[in-house]
Amino acid sequence: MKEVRIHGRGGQGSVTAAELLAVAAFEDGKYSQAFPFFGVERRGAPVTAFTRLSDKKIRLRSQIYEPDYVIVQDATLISAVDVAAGLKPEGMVIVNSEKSAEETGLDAGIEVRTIDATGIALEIIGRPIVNTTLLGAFAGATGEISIESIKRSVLARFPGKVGELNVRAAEKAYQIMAATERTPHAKPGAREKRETHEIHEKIGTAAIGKPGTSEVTKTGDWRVFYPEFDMEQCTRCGKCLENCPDAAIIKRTLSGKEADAARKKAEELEKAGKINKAAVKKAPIRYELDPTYCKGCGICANECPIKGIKMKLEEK
Amino acid sequence: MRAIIEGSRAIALAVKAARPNVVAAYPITPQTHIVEDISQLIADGDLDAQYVKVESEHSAMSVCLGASATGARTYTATTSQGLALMHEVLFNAAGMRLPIVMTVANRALSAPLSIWNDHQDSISERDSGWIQIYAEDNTEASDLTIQAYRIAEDSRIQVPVMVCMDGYTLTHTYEPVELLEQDLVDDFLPPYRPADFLNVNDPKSFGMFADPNYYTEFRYQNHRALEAAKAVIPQISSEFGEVFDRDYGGLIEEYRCDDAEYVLIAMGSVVGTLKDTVDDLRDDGVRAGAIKLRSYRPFPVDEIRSALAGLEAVGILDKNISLGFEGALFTDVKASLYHDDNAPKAFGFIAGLGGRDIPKRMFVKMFDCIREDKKISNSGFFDLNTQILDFQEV
Ligand code: SF4
Ligand code: SF4
Repeated sequence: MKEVRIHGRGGQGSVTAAELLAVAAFEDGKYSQAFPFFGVERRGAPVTAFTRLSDKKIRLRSQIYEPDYVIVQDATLISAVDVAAGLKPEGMVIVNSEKSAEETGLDAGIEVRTIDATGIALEIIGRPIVNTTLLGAFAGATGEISIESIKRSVLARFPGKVGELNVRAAEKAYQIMAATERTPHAKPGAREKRETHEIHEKIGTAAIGKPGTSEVTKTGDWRVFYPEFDMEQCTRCGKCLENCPDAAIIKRTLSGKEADAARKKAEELEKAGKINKAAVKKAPIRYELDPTYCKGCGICANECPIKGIKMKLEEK
Repeated sequence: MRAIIEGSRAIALAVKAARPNVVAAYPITPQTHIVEDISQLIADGDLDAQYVKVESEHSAMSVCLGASATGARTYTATTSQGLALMHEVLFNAAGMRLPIVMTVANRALSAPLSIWNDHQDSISERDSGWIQIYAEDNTEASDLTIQAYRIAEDSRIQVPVMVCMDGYTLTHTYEPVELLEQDLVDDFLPPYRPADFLNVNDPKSFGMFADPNYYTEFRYQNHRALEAAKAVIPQISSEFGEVFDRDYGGLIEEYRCDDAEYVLIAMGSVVGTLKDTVDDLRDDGVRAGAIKLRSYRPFPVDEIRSALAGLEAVGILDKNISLGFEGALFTDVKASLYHDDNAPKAFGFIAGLGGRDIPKRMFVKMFDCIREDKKISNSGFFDLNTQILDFQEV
């Protein structure tokens, strides 16, 4: 039996990847099983999903603690999550990154293979959805599954154009990985097993929590996209601020020289006929992003009545 | 035919194959995918049934009760708080002897709020008069759905059935599932034709008043029906086996118990992990075995007694607890052994509450405890994280 653990962020399709991999293995005539680490799904939050592949019927139901393979959909997770926890000595970690294996920061003792899946996905699919691309990479790097089955399983889930593009991205990643040889490990050795209980902080008797936990959760780490505000067109309606689930938009009123400068700029725009008089008055009011907590959900952009917020891909 | 689908999808397809007339449900995680899939099947015209949207689980069960009384085959599914909200209607459905079939996507009960799996929800409905059968994998859960109608509608039984499957661990898992061929299901499960049903041309009263002259006798009959199910469940299982070539045996399944010295009893999907652990231990020369408890109500007293006869020790895993006492299965197993002089020593383990994972190494530890006759500390809470508690038992 081979066990695969997939690390990603909510919204990156990690669970779908686990399922597509299981479906592809089934297509190859194997038994397989896919399931998520059942969390409270939030866009951007770290997500784990699991796939087992076997020649025999799979009865085991526990999570995967000693994977043969790990797929990391988002390299920013490496600093937050012990992605290689419990990896078998002969195991492999596949990371979506344009960097080299050494630059990922993972232990030198484990086999790490990187692929710029985001680059491939942007080029072929036009969106940074990397799960299918990484499945192609997995097929190429491990040989555990045929690329044909991966393609069939992707097409069955996403029929039509979307599926075709995903298949092309998977194929490209497959070719790149299949062309490079597996490197023997520098110093193979079993990785530490994951602890069952990672929580050590004491709890009270009743199910009563302390307030303020949202301050501790730096949801900004989850971000793949960030909102860019068009402060020239902004009507200062406040809809974005009201709707942001993480209170990550801050309203600030400029004063003194800063306010004068903002007003002056607005007057110029008014002269050019780009904004009206009412807007000039409001010019010192600014809506700004709190990057520590903005998780990039895009709700603000959706809610903005003048479509003055654009979601931009975060440079990492 | 075998297909790789989500557990919830497998249940929706099994329900479709059973051809219910009325489905009424209220969505609640992790049951949601099941009822979403069924409503889609009905909307697409793939299943000719009436889907009644309701405002709560209490109403869902009430709709099923009313519909079933008219002679309709009915289905619903729920979990956790939803099942708790059905509580009073469950007793009515059983007392009125209505063969409703319900999937329980097992989940913990609040508080604290947990959407994850354990068996507290269905165990807490133990005395509702429903038959409860627990599935190990998604094929079994799907097959049980069909068998449940045969059991519930059997004229010797006439009692509703809960098919219990672990929330998420089964409902949200993709794995190969043996699909049910419609023509075979139609042969195995004929349309529901009750002797008594609400009929304007032949008026009858359902769930009427029973004064002290009658109440006991109705309860007695309800109890006898569950007792009769002890013979009917295995019989229908083997009939199913003849048609579909998949026989799950009877009220319990014994795994490598023949020459076992130490046996662990468990219910639900965790039995798969337990069987793998037994294989590992056998490879190491330990004579371990496992018992999968399939039917929790009726409780298989005789089967448990004969399976445990001559054993040194038995461990019982409970993914539930009767607070102030112990795990529900532990109590029942010990009670079953009370009259046996050489009964094995019994060890109760409470683990896997609120979705806490049970890996193989935890079962190994349980086997170690029963082999070495260790004292079980922490009131039987076996996977307790004592580090986060101020209070500690000595
Ligand atoms: S994307 Fe917009 S709505 Fe979402 S967290 Fe960031 S600022 Fe708030
Ligand atoms: S919703 Fe748009 S227009 Fe309104 S304050 Fe926010 S950015 Fe400005």
